[in-house]
Amino acid sequence: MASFKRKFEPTGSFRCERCGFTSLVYSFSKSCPFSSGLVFSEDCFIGRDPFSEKHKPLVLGSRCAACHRAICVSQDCSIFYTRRYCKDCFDNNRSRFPLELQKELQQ
Amino acid sequence: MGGAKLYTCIVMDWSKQEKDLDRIFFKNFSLIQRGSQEHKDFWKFFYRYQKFNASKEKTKAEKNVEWSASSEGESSKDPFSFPPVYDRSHRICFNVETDNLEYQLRVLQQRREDERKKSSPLTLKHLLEFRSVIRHFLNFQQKTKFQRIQKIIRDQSELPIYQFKDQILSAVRDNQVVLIAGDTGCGKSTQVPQYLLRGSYEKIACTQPRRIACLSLAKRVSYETLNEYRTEIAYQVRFERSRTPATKVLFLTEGLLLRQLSTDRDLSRYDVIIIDEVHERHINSDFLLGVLRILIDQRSDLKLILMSATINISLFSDYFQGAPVIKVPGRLYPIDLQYMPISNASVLQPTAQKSSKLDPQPYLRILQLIDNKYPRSERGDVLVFLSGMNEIASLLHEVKSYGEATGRWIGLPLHSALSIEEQDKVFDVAPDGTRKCIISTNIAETSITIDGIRFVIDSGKVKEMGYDSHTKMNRLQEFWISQASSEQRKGRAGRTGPGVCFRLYSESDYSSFPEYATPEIQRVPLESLVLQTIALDLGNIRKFPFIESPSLSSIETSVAFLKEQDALTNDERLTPVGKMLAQLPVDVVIGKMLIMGSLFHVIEPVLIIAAGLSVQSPFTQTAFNQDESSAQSTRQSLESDHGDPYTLLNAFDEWINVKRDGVKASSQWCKRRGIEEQRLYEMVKLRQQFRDVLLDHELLEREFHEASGEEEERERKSRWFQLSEVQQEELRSMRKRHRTENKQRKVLKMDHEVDEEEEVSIAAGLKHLEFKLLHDLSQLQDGSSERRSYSLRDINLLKIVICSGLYPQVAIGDDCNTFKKGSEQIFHTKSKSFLVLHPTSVFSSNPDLLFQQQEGGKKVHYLLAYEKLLETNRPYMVNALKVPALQTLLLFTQSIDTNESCSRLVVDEWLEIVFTGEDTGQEVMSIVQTLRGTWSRILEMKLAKKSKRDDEDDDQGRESDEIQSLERLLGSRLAEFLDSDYNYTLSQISSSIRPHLYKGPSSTSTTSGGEGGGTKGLPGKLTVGSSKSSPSPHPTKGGFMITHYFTYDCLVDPSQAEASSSLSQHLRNVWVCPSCHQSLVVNMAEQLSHRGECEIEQQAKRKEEKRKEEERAVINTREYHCKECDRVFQFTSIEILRHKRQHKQN
Ligand SMILES: [Zn+2]
Ligand SMILES: [Zn+2]
Repeated sequence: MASFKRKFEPTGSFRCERCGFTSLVYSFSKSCPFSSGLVFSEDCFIGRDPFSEKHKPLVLGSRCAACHRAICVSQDCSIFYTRRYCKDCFDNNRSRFPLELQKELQQ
Repeated sequence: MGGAKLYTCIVMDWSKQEKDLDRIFFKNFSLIQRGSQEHKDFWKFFYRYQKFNASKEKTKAEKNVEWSASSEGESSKDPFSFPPVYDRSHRICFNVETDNLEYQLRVLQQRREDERKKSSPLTLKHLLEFRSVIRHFLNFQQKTKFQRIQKIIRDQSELPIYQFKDQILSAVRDNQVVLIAGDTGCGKSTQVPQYLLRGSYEKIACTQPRRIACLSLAKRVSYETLNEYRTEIAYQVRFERSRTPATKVLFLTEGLLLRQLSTDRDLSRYDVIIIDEVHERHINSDFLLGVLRILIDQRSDLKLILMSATINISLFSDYFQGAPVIKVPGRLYPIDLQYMPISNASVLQPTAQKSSKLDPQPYLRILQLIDNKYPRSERGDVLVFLSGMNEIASLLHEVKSYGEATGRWIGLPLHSALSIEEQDKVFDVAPDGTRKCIISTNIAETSITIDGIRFVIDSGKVKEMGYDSHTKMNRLQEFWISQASSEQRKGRAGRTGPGVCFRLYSESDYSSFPEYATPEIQRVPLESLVLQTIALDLGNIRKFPFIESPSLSSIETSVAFLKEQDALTNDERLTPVGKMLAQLPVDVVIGKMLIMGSLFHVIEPVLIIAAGLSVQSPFTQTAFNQDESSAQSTRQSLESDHGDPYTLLNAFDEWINVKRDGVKASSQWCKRRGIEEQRLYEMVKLRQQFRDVLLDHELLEREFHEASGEEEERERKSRWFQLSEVQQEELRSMRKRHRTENKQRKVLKMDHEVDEEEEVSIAAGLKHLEFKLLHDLSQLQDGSSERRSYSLRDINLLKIVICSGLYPQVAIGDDCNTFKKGSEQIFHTKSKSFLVLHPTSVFSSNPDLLFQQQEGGKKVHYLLAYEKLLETNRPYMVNALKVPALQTLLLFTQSIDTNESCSRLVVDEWLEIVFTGEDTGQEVMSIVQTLRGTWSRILEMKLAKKSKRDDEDDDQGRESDEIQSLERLLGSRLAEFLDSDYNYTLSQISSSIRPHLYKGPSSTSTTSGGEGGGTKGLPGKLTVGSSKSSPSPHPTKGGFMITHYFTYDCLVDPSQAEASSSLSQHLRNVWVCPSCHQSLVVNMAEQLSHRGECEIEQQAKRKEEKRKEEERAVINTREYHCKECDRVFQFTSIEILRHKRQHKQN
């Protein structure tokens, strides 16, 4: 392992198209820029965990699998089941999701 | 483990596998590092998860399929195609990658075999299961962290000020000065800096009146901007900073911003300056406002934002030519206001001298009223505003017993003298069915905000340190509050819901209150302010555009005081001492002690005494008030015959030594003596800070073994490693425990005792360990044992240094004192009579100490120097120190007037000294001139050296040499002066004699007319030795001004005929100077003047000659190789010969 320290710079900013949440983003990809160990199942907006002293990733959001809008991971804005769906697309296509999931989300 | 026999074959005992699992999964897994908090959290999560799964039906067990949308192939265009079977693990958007688990398992089993242990029960299935829990844990973490962020944002948007965000930004854009007025809780202090940051301002300073607020705001704002561990948001207070080049928002104290002005005249390092809490009207913020009002005209790009409570808004707005005001309404619920005047108090005048004891009845009646009227189930606490700590203590006592009787109340004190832990208690929650009754000073008015207050009881009083600039007397006085603070107090009842405010005064009282409180600048001494205006070249302080000017007389007194302290010249420029004082961030008295201490190389004890005088007294008065005579008698062993500052020093030294035996020993030691340990910790800290100031200003040379900043850091770290591992762990866990305890509001207990004990011990232990960490205990101990062996000379030297700061706060004992008890003895200063000893003073219990006869039966005259006067019902001298009269007076007085033979001296037109021996007076005056001249010369040189530091200067070494040799001269001369005992009488000059003291100018000029042919004053150009100028006559007193403090031959001498005196003064005789051996034809005044300067110059000359000689020597030497001893020498030719001769003789 090389001992040099990489400086991580944000590559842009992310804005949720549903709730307006905004934050700096360090990558939009399936892998994490700071550390190995996590592999995302789709391209994610990855920010920095503000509560950790070390560089640690924090998933901020991704694009809706159906409408491709950028959405945050908040429960009010999206759900994840194999892919991320915005709340609107989920509500409009509720019946197409597994029954178990629908039930679970109603709780 | 025990009862699960049935499942032993199925259920895995994970706890036994922790080590192996850690090794496999967390060896180099950056997200959860072994030993970290996350690691601990993970294991907790793991067991909870297992329990949860076990409780669920086994059929629901997850299959942990790691399915990813992309692995299905991008071709499947349907965004709603899902795997055939539902699985909760599909709700996680990432997988955890680890090393190959099959391989890891093989390694594990192999190692077991090598170690001849039985094979691990872990299988690949287990490892996969474990990995899936890690995945769930990380998912859980991600979710909660995002929620935390959302909560921060939500909270911000709910603050009242949020609605004004855009308005604020556009106002700042369009105006140079903007005023934001909003009450505590509207969020201005935390939000406005953030708005500016988002509005792309990058150099933002935000001042706070209190240090602690800088730290906590920086922390809060960086948390809110999700920057907690980065450096865009920083704080800087005296001696402490987190500031880096990346800093964009800096929280700093008002005083510090003022100091930055001295190196950065137009504060070019900032583009926005926020002055917070301007309504508090602290002296620094008032001054800062004036400075900034001047500055904004010079810097049109500078933005200034004033933030205040909604008090007296137009004053600030008008001061800045009608700056726009953005008014942010607070969140206030309706408050029911009830006037309940205490019947006999309505006649009370604003300043009732006798502080009548507080009557608790009206307060208890209101508690009763609350008990009767409001059901226990309805929450809501009480906040009582009283004037001072004594009142709080006595009411607290009553409330506690009332609380015990009813089981409904918990009484808590709140004032600034409490430790942080004690203060924090007011935030804890009262158990169901009980209410807190917080009894507070005005600290809870704006500074500390407590949620959950429903009832406010307002006494309408406040105690403030009133300051009488004329007598320089600090007076703790009780005043009626202002209408503004009355409203503030009321408002505290309506922050979390509708409330009630009980005012213990009438409505007509209220309308007679002043509208606003008197600003600090009109109440306190202005010395630092005067020094700073002059140092910053801000022109005449009398014309400075203050928002509200202090009284002219207060300015004049401060200017006069600074002249007395030798900080200002007569034409109000800074003297060397003054220049030094203006740079030091400490007050004038402490500053002078530190400066002199460094000159005389007695800095260690001075640091400790200065620190002791700057904190609240560690000696609790309870030992004196109550009949706890045991504490008083144990304390006696610490008392010093020399005075209270030495007692303080003894206590500190003793404590440092007790510290070696650990926390318990030292806290017990303190308790027995009625000493508050917290204050001693503060002293340690302050001592270090003073030291840093001196090092910073090169008043203290770093000793060669002493560390520079970086090294010191390293040393501190190494001290950390010297603590045993157990101690390290102890400290870590204590710190943490302390933190979490402070964060999570605990539920208060009714039975205080146990709880308090434990808490105190944790806090004390923490402080003890931190103390060990931050300070070199052994070094402190060395110092303290060194002081035990102090000689009388050392002690006297130290007295002189302390006096350099305290002067002119010296008092002479009344003639009749000999026959009185300690508490009845009275003392007089120049301006104030009938001062008394403070009951805690050593002289109060041992008045004999003041009349000591020295061996040989000679009477030694003592004066009492004191730190300050405290007037409660009598004017008490606080921190009294016994000092030798003659030496103290002559070294620090502003004026010494003598008669023709110098046998009679008048000091400060207050005390008269008459020498019995012949010529003694002249000798003494010559020594005094030398000493006083030498130290101002050294200070000049040090200042010059510092200002030259940046320019490259190869003369540095030589200069330090000269300073050092002058310092040595000063030290030895002073010691001699202190040791010698002169025979003299000391008396006060009565006011009836005072107008007839001086000859006045006319007598000099008329008599001199006939002598020596001169026209006015001193005639003739006959040289007066080496002195640069002949002494000129004093314009009012007559006689001649030898130096700015020494006027010769101006006293009317009752014993001598006037004619002969005026004749002899101009008679010139041949006189040989003992120092330069020149023969001079001089009169008496010229002779004195010559002697004062000659010695210093001779010293410098000798030094120069010595240096030249050394140079010459270096030039004339050459390398000489002696064959006989086979060595190379650096010899002059004479030395070579000498050396050769040596060999021949052998
Ligand atoms: Zn959103
Ligand atoms: Zn969508």
